[in-house]
Amino acid sequence: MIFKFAFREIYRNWNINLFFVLNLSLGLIGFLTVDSFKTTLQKYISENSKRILSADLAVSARREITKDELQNVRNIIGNDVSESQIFDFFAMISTPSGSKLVLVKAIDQSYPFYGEIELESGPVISEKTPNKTIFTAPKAWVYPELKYQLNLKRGEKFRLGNIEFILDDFVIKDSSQTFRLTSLAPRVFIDRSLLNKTGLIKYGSTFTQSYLFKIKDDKNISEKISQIYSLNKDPAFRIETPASAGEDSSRQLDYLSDFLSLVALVALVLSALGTAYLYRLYLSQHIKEIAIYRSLGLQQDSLFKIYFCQIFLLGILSLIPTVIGVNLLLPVLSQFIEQLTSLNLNPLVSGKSVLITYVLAFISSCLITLPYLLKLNQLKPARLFSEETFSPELKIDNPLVFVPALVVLYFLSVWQSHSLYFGSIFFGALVGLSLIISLISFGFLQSLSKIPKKMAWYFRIALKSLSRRKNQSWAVFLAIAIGSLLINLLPQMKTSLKNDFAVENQTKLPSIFLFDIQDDQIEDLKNELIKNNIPLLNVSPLVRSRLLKVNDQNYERAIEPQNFKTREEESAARSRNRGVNLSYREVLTDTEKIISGVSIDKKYDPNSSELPLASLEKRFAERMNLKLGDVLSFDIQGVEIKAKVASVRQVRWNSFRPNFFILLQDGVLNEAPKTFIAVLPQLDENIKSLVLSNLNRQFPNVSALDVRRTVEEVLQVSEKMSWSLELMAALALATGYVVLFSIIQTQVQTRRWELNMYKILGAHFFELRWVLIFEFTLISFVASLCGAFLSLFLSAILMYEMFGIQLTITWLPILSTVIFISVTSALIAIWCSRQVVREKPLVLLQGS
Amino acid sequence: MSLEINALSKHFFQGETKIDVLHDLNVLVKSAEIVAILGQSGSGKSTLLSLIAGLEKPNSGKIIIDDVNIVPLSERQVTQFRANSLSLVFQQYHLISHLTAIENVSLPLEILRTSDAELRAEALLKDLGLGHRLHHFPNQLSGGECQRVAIARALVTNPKVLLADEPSGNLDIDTGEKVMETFLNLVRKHKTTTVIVTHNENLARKCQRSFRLKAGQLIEINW
Repeated sequence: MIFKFAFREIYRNWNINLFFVLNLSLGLIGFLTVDSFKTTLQKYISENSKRILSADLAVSARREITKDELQNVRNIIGNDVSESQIFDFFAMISTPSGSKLVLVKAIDQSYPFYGEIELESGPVISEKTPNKTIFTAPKAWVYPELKYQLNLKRGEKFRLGNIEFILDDFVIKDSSQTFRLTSLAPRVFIDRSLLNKTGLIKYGSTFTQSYLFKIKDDKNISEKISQIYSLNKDPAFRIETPASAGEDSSRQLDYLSDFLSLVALVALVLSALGTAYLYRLYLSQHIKEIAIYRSLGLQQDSLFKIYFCQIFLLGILSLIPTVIGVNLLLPVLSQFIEQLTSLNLNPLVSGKSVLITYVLAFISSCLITLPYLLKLNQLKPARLFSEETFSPELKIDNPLVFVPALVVLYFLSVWQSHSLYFGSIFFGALVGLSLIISLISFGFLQSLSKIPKKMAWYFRIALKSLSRRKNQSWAVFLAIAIGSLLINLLPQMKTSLKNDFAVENQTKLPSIFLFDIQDDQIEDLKNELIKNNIPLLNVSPLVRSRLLKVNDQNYERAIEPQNFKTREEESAARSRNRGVNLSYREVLTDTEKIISGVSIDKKYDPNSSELPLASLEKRFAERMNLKLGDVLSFDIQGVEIKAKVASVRQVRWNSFRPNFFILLQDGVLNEAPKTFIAVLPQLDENIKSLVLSNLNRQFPNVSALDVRRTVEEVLQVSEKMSWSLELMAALALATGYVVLFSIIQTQVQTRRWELNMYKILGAHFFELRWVLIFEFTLISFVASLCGAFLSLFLSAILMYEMFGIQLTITWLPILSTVIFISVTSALIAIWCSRQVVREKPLVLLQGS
Repeated sequence: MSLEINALSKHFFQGETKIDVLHDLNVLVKSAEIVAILGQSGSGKSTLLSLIAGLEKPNSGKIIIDDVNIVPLSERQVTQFRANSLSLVFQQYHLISHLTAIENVSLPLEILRTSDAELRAEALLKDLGLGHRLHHFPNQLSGGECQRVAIARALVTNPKVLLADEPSGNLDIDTGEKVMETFLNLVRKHKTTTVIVTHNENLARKCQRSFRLKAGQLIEINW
């Protein structure tokens, strides 16, 4: 009986249920799209993880791995293994066309154990490929960017350190670099045995040494890893498995997915708003029938079961347009991702994703509709009798009934963003902004009660309708304002970033960033540059060290949790498992400022009994859970040095000047083994090219990063990333439109009596039309303007918090959004009212 | 199936003012008897009906239907009792707008999970001359037809007691008379104990007994 009643309720009220399904499905499309994308990505990673790592196990360190460490590994993993050694490091490649920073990968014959390197001329290099060409002569395989950046062709020569290499082929596909969004430097593959001859790896050079293992019997690998870690305790010694390599490689995409999920969540919230409105209306229209059912003997709990069953069925029905919508949206999203990563994932909708989406749909529908269903307990069927007037009212007196829905939203925010921090901020922002928008909407609606008497009657009726139907008006206002806010947020942030870089470019952004400068090269370098009147700026020492203890507690390696882990946990684990770079300055630069604690400018007196002082960068301190007063112990080449945290700094990293997470007082590290980093000021392109070539010739171990080109690449990548975010934002706005359409359509239908009464009293149909057009256009205009201005406010906060820069307002997106939304609302009002406006008022007199 | 009301009282509060609607009301309606209750607007007729139907609780007194005092029963018990033993006909018909005539009539049987609900509904509608309107919706029926559907819905479960609230109140005189004639014939045929609240004295005279509700009390009318 329950199922039959529920099914009948749905198909006999198909029009309002259709809107319900449409609203729900729009909210679910974004969620299911992103979930399907993430599921496909995870599946790809898991199927290709060995190819990504190129091994069953890899150990690495940003220093030379000691013989003892290597022997420990060999003892534990056994004899039945194949082994390969790799060096990764930055270097400058030099050609007649110029010089460029590259990432050199020095490999041996057995690389890669898994996966392959596809070359442009056809060969596919794998473990079993015999006579790999780069091992037969000083040859190299390079990434294709160098074709355009340095005008390189196959067979041409280039210099890397002390050796001239022949460009053997271009790499068109590298299975270990599947998710490359952007890299500071294109890869160059060379024979590892030539490394010493290049002279590129010197003391202090930035490199990573890795040993890859192909293990025949890879059972109990986790146990073996634990044993290795227990022997090799230095946190800088890393072990990677295919699973962790896969995770690492997709991290940038994972972050993007997290943000996409949050935007999709906004669409879900908007659809929930529309769904709640529609369901409230539906129940209000059917409350008399519910009273009849009760008078006929239907139990209260049977009524609940019928309506829950109805929601269950509507949830299933909503999956149909959802899956259709996802299959249309997924290819578009993956096209955007392909532009970013060159990876064609071909994401598909999986049954598991559909099931999760359905459960979410059902739970959220129940939470939204439950407060209204509970009101049915207060229904008095006795009011059906003749002397009573049956005027049903479904007002929610206690807003606390919506708290469970908010709790679910909070958990969804944290789950989807994989971050307690971002999830909480997102939730807080959404709730906070909704409250602000609600206050503004009620204030605006209240102000409409003062209607100018000289206004045409239909405009006055429209204003009265808005101000006296506050709940309906509020729902429209909120939906439009949130959609407008979202759609304006990204353009504001993008423009501000671009402008900031542009401003910096013209004034303070350096043209070249130099690193791996040896101690004994500094003066020669300065002298060489002075010949061309180029100063060497912000020369900063870099001292490699290991963090041994914090407040005399050993600083242990962090093991990432295997199950659900937040991005903060991942980031903290990565930070802990690295070495730390220390530096010192006489004074702070203009790109950093102390936000708490005291200055460490005073030179340290080694005779003092006080500990030297340290200054930490703000986010680094938060990640590492360090605070003022903590005593840090560092190991610098076997020498232990302690320092006390005296201040926390905020650093403008987008200035591209040398900056460090940890600064010590001048006078503490001056005698420590170190390299230097520095920058060159703004230079003309021609001069820059010459300078790079000269530097590379005279100082082949010094690496140089073209800052302007890097900034351009980063901006290009962020532009591409923003396409996918804008796609989701457009979906959220579309959901807002559907909510608007649903509300206008249902309002027009419920106001038929009123509209026909105006006709009986003598109104023309075009005047009636103006009532509706003016009403909905006005509220959409004000709501979209409100959302757009709030987006400026939110953008300003985000730009400052995330990048430390001021917002640059761009008015075009705001103007175009407001106009577009207002015009579309007017068109929707015209469309929805076309039938009712032309209806004969006789219909009313006949009592239908 | 008899209906006995003993010392029934019901009052409401409007602000701090207590309004006695029914005061120590007593009546016995014998099995298969048809009685009419007349009274002015606001005299408490609807309140009396809603108390008998178990849709409200009295402040004191008993309502005994078929030897069962329904006053102390729980909400769940009284709802079940209403489904099994009692039916209502409203002045405004109160048909479900998105159900056809036959579906409206079979609804009480579906609530009781009766298997041949539609067959019985169809038979009763045909008895009431609506065999050609089985699959029409309420907005496609005339007032008289709607009221006949409402009557069929009330009778389809063979209730022990039937309560009718101004059943001809929304109909014109001629239609009302025809419908009420049909109605009375059917309740007599089914031997249903019937209480009709009405303003219509002609209709009241056709019932076996009539009462006037005044000052919270029922006074029998001798025509």
